Amino acid sequence: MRRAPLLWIVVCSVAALLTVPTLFLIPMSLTGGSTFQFPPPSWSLRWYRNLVEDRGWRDAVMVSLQVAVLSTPMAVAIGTGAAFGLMRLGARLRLIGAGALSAPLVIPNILIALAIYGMFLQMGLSGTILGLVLGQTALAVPFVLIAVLARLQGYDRNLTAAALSLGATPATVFRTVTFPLVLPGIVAGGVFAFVASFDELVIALLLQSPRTVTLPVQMFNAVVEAADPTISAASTVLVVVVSAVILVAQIGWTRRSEKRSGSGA
Amino acid sequence: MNARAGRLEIRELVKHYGGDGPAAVAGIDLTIDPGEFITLLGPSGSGKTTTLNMIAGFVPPTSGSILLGGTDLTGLQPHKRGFGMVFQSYALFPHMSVFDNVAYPLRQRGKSKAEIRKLVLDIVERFGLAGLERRRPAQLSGGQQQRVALARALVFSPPVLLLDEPLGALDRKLRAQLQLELKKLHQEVGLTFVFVTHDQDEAMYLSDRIAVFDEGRIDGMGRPAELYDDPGTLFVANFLGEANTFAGRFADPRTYAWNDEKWRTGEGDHPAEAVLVVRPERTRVFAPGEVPPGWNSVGAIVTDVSRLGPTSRIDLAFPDGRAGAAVLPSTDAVQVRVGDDVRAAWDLPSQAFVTP
Amino acid sequence: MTTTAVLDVGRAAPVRAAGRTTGSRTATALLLAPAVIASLALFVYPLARIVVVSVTEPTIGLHNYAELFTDGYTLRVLTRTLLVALGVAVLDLLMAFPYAYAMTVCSPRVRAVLFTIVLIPFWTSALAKNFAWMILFQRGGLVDEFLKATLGIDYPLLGTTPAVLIAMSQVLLPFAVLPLYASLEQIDRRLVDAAQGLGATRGRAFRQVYLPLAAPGLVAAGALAFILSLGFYITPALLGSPQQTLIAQLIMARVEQVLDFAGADAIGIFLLIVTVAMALLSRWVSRRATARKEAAR
Repeated sequence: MRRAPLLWIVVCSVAALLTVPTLFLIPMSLTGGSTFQFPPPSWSLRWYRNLVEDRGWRDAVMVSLQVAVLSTPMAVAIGTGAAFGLMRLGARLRLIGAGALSAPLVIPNILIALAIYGMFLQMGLSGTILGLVLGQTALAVPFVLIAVLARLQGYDRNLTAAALSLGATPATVFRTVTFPLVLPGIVAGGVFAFVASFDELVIALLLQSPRTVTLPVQMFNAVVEAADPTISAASTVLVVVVSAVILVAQIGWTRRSEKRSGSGA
Repeated sequence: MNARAGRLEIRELVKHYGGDGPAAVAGIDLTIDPGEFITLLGPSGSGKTTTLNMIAGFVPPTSGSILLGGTDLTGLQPHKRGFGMVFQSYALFPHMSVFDNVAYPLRQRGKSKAEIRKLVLDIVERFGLAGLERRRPAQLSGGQQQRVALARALVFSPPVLLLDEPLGALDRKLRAQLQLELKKLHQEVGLTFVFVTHDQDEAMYLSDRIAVFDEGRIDGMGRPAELYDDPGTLFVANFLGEANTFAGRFADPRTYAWNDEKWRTGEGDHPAEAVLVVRPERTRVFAPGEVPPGWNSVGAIVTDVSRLGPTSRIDLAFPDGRAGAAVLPSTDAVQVRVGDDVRAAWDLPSQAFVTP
Repeated sequence: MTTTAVLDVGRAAPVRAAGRTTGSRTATALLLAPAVIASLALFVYPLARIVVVSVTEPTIGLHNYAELFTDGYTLRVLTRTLLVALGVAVLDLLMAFPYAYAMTVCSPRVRAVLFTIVLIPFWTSALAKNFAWMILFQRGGLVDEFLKATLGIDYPLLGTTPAVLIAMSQVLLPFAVLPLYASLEQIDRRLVDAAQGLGATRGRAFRQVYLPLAAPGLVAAGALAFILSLGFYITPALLGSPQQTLIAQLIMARVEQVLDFAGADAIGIFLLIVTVAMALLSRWVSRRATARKEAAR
């Protein structure tokens, strides 16, 4: 382990670059003034209040939540099923299948958004909650697939064999051994799916209508039209919500696995 | 511990994986007596693990049958066969505690909570794992994990225990220790142990009988000592320990010719086509002309002399270029030097004839 | 052959324990069906539709694509986008390489910390990140003040291409670090030690032994950053100059303002072609570098 100071200076700078900029949102959202002056002239919670009181912002949060809550379970179901299905295929087919199903991740976002928009426009799905849900599910499935597939590929096949040898029926083996061990992947995939949906801008921008404005779209429009620090409050909320979901999932998970020590199968 | 045991019979077991390659298992016949410790020994790919998996029910045979106590098991699902099984990777459920791991088979059998508790704590105690019940497998050492795996496989008193190279993942010292424990365990519980390994020392140490596998068939079978002294085939002779081998022919029923040598065959029968085999520790080294009468000998050049404490190993090169060795007490090896022209010799009881 | 067949046991166990091979094949189909349908309906079909539209409207032919190269404006935007993407890739590699390298040489504890730091951006909203940069880059913002103080530059970066470059580099940095780390981790550092043992200086050993081995990973990471930045919309839209738009904005404008779907589709498909070409190119370069690595061994 070489102690080259230059290297570590660079590393720390990069680490700072990765984390610090986002942190600025927090003091910005608490500003008492009505501009983005930094440091803030005074402190106040009024922009958070605005977030809650202003009809436009409130509706946007609701729409975002609605769409995320609807698309996440769908993406999880589809993605998890696909991961299990892929595991039953030979190695070659599995690689091709996984690649094909994960394609949306490497295709430029704008192109997928454009494609879906064009199609939905024709079908009358543009500007509907359903359209948003479908579009974001399509984007979220690859995240779930990769998360669950990773977990499945790390699964020790001998565990299934052992459980069978000990007298458990295949269904019981799945319930007591396979599923609990794959669950972290499913949860992780669900978290990614939720985050991807909640934070998604481009598709939502194209599919927007007065009734279906998501939080990111609201923020974007606010920036383009006339900015006030409510955007900072909204951004902070976004960061907090997303981080909270992940943290809760992590903590809930650790607590659950500790509880299991006593009871279990 | 209850020792319900039954005779395990394997009849003409074949496994073909399709395609035009050779069969994984090409016809195995084996009868395992209740309470026996039998080892399936062989190199990788010899079919021993496939055979074990067919016994366990994980791989359906292409043809042949497996019977336990007279009942045909072929076609019976693995979870209904009731064999205990131990894997090389232990296969302990990582998300369950030691207690839950060991209790698992009992829960599948619908035992009461009280009964489960008693049986699990009993066996945990017996295997020296007391106090570790609440731990997760990841928090245990390799040796402890393997004991948990054994406990889990035995807690429900199966008639047969199948072991798939269970000690392969351990370092030498731990391995030796667990080998001893395994041997004592077998003597205690009296169950049938079917053990798979590629390590011949392990097989010799643990087994009542050894079945040597080669390319899907059993090439040799017998008690360790018998198999060692009388291997039967060249493969077994080479696999089970070292051997000096000479592929010649019978000039007449009492004479074996190899190179320019003529050797006496001694008493007893031998196959028409045979290879002569002598173990290094039965091979002695003499100066030319000093070979005792009645002994067979062959010319050799000494290529290396290693003193290994009380015994010495003399590596030899035979006239056909192949290598061999003699292992003898160091006191007898004092005069031997590298490069010496010697006669490697053995008495008649030391040689064996095997089919090539 | 036998060994691999034996390894089959694990897979065989649940499948064959179920008894029927046909039953399990139906199960496989059922499990994969929803994903396949979703993919076809929401991904393959829309894209195919776009391709069709781009060559059939307003009339059949490739004129939408021809326009890409004849319209000076579009060409400029394209070139600009490619250059920015290149810049992002280079910047990201410059930052990711030391970071990923450090991750391979540090203690496991430090590595865990570095890992978490790299993953944090995945958890935080991309939009929020871009917005934070807006605040930093604005007139009077921290970056502005900093530049004024150190380099005497009195020009806010908000609304300029350099801002886009910097912000995109930060947003895409994790995508460069993670695969690069995975690749660097595989390099046997003892080779560098061996080179030094044979008399090479530290710098020489690094340049002649380590770098060539790291090349495939670097190419892959850079290519990924490049590809991802090609289609980026949020950052240029929020931080960029209206006079210097990037391709994603062009597509958006075509659709939303001009309602020229066919033209927008053509640009989009072209973008896809460039992306795929880039991906293939990077694989080819990476494979050649790996081949040279193997040959050198």
